Amino acid sequence: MDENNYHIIKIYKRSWLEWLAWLLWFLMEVFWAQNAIASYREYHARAGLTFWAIFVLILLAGAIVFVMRRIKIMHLLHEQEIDNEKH
Amino acid sequence: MADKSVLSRRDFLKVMGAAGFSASLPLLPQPKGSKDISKTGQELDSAGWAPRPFWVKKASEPTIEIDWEKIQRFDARSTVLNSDNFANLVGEERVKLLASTKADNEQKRILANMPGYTLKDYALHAASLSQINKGRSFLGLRQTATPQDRGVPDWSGSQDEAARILRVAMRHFGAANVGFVELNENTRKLIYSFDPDGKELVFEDVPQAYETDEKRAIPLSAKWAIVYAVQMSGETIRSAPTITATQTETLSYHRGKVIQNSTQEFLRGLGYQCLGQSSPNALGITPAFGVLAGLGELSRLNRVITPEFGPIVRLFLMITDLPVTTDQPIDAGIMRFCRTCKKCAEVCPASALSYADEPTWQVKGSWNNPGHKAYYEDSVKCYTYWQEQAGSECSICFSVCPFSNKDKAWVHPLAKATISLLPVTDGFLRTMDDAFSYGAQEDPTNWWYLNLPEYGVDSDPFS
Repeated sequence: MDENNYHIIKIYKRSWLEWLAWLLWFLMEVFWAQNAIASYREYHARAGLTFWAIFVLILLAGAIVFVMRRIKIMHLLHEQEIDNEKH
Repeated sequence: MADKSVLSRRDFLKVMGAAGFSASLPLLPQPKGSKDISKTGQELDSAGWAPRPFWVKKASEPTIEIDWEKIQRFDARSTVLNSDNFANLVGEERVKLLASTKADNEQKRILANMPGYTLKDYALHAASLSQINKGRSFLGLRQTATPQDRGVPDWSGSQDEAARILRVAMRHFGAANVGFVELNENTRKLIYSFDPDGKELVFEDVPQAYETDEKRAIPLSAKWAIVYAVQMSGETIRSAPTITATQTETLSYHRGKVIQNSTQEFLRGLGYQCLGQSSPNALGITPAFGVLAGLGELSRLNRVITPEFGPIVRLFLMITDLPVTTDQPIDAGIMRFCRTCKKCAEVCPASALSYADEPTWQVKGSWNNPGHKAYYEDSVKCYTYWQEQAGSECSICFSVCPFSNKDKAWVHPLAKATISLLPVTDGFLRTMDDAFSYGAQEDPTNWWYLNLPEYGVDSDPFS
């Protein structure tokens, strides 16, 4: 098959601990989002706003960790490619 | 045209197959009995209780200490709501001054269109208030046909079944929760010696209850107290202290009366007696019965806090001769949380609630009935504030209580479960309650724009 006809998706191998941490992060986001939405249904607008603030804060924290990890991974992949070329 | 009316062989077989399947349905094995119709977790237990959260634990004793030897039957005229008694406590002149201050404030506030005290708020309150006493009586309406009238025997069934049908009927009439307590040598002391209107309440060895100008007679066979909670609107009470907030209380008294009348007629229709409150807060000490029946726990408010609705309920009392399965007190960590929280005492504008770390046997005044450990309130300070400042019933203590939060947001049932199971977190949870601005007063003007359900209450607290 011609290599130009398909994409290759690379999933970087992570430890199960890291996957677990991402799962916890996701569940936390669901929890804060539910509380934020339900607070408006309870007519607790100020509490809803606080819950949204926590949601955004954790979302940003996750995004920062993700980007930093990605930079590190890209750097490692780049080094691997250089090594492969050398060999 | 003629072709369309002719059934093809294929269609004929289809129709016959469907008919055969339908005919065979009754022959298929059916679910066993009506008890199996619901396995969704929503079914009632044998005595009619809906499932309660796992952290609401049944207890052999209430979460307050009781010394039955010290408890005497209480005269309902000793509360501050009795005008003669209030005058005895503060003096005639003070009563007159408070009444004129309240009237002056009312007029000034209406003319100034003060939020929560506008003419429409007063009209709404007055509309509920006008209903709370009309048609309320000790013996009931007595209009429903009895089994004797119908020429059939009285209803009979097990005590569990009796409790279930009564609880189901009362919830259908509008009660949020219903509990039963047996009237024995001790619990009879929780029935008032005199009702607020001055009539004596007496237990007599008579077959039928009766009422004269001097007394109300309760037959010895009427051995079961029915205590029920009626929800107030939490969203409405958040504007306390205003007339807007007060009207949900008066509305709950009206609804309590409707439930009482309906239940009295229901039991009459089954062939049994049901004795009700001749006026709001008559007949007996409802919070005490509420605690004994496991509707909730006594709290720093010196009122009952329920696990489902917090303190946003009014409790009512009746007595019946229908034998029912009685209930147990509960421990959901509420009273223990009150020791740490103190939020109600901090915000009480009249400083009428206790700041003490531990409940005490020592009553604050003649309006309290001794014999149990509690955070006794200063009712004179409370009632004076109603008259002098609020111009309404206050209810700030109800509004700020962390248990008043609804359970729509997951964090609230989680917090309640944590309070019950991990008392060490009580202080932290109180701090979080403040951090999320729970208990902050809402603008009463906004109430007129809220999309609230009937009576402003959710019938399912966990939805």
